[in-house]
Amino acid sequence: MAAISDGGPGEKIMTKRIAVVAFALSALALSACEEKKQEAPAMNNQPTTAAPTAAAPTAAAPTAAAPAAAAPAGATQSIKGTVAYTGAPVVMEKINRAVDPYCAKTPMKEETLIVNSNKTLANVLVRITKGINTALPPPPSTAAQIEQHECMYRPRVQGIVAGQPLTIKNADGTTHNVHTYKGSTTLFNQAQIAGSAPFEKTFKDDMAMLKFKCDIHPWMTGYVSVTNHPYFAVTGADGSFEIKNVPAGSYTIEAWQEKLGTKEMPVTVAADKPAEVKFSYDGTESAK
Amino acid sequence: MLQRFAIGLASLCFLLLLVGGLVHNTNSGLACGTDWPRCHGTFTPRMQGGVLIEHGHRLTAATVGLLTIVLAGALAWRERRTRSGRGAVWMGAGAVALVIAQGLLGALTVHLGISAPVSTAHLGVSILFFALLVVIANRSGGERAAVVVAPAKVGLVGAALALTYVQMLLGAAMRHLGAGLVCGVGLPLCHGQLWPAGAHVGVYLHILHRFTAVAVLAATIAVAIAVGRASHVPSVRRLAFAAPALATAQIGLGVLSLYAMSGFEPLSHVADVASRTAHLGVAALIVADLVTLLLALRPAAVAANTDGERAAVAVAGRA
Repeated sequence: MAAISDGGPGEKIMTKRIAVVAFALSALALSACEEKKQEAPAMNNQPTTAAPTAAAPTAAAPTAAAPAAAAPAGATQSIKGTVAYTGAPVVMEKINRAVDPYCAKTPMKEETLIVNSNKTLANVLVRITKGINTALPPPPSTAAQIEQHECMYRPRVQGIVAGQPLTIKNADGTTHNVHTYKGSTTLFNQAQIAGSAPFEKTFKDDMAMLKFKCDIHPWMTGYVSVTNHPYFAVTGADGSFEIKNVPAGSYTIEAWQEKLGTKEMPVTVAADKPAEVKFSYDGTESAK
Repeated sequence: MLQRFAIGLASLCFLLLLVGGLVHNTNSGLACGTDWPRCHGTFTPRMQGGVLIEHGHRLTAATVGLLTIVLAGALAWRERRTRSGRGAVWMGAGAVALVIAQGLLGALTVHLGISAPVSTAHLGVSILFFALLVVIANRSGGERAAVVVAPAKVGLVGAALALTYVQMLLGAAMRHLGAGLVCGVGLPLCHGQLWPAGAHVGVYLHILHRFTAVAVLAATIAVAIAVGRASHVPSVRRLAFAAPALATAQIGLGVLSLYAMSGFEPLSHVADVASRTAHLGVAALIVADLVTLLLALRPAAVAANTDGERAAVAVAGRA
């Protein structure tokens, strides 16, 4: 830096140049900070496989097990994880669909326990069951969907938010009936002939696991979890799950598998990084 | 007096059958858990929902059981007093044995978590017990004038009765295997097929149930023609003509049940439960009708005149 002198014309020009450089450097530094801020919200707002798009909670959640750094208000993170399977190899039998020629033309196998090639489980619903202290977003207005396709319920397992519409559609060329249970109680039973319009249902329950059956094709089964919050996900072909936009805090998280039942574990979500959870089933568990 | 008691007990048994059907049709079989004979650890649970139906069924069954023992005792006491023959005593003892077996099957049904074979046997024994009570109710008033008919006609009524019983077993097995709707709502074929190859056993039971329904209707029509039309005895005519009427109503209820179970609007869940329970009730009425008709007939010792019949003289007086 030029020394301060008595302020002649050359000195004035140098001072000006220094000021311009200093200004440019400051501007550069400021713009870099701005870019970082913009990237973080885009990552948190991307929807998961099963969780609907939801606004991030506005209030921070003070908890007993607070992270080392103070959580900024509205900070959310993901809960990521996998559901492993360490049991004996599983062979899913072919379903006898001979009774209905329409269904029989597409062979299908049992789907009560799908073990992926990497020894993880598909169709496991993972959801937060305890610890939510923040204001909950309203249920999504976009309807979820369950479809009868090739005489199977698709998706077989999904989660929806209480109050979110669920569209039920028959995409097959044969008549089905949608018989839905909560436990052993029938919630509704409605026939859907081939080509009929979809119909919609809305459920107000919290922590309910609804079972969809078809009495005409008894092998057809679907599950819809209903929670009053959007913090759930379903594992896919790689056994992984990610529950996004979870406010920082301590929770109980549950994995549910239709044949092997539920497993619970605590998880703490910090403000600055995703939480990691690993579930494991050994095949000896039972849902009953 | 004894006959009125027996008729009352048979009527109570009919009610018990309906409540039993209600237990299955409302999925209340395990409403008391696997606890038996208590319900959730007590004989006086809160009677609501499925508990009301299941425990109500057990209480009614216990009442029927106790009254059956009373009936058997009354029949034995009467035999000692009148020396009218040990047939009634054996029937009373048989009724007690059947009701005990029925209670044990009910317990097994609960402990095995509603197993199809046990549940079907539970229905099968209940109909045998009900039929025996109908016989006792008919006979406890003393021997009545029987209408002598050709042996083949008695055989026809017997065959219709046996076919009805088989049909009830098929229906029970089909339902307890969850095969009530496996052929869809299309009639008369099963998803357009007469006999689909390689299907689940429940499918074949369902198809047989449809075929046998037609056979029962045909058999009861034959009874109406062969026995009802040929008889001049009003009670025999009523019984004979009632059989195909009930069989027709039964087929109608079966079709209604198909559509109600499938959830076709405007048929509600109530219509579903009601139609299936009535389906069981009418089947029991067909059994009662044919049993009573059979008791009103006597095969002729010689070849019967096909244009008419002769009334037999009363064998014994009333008690």
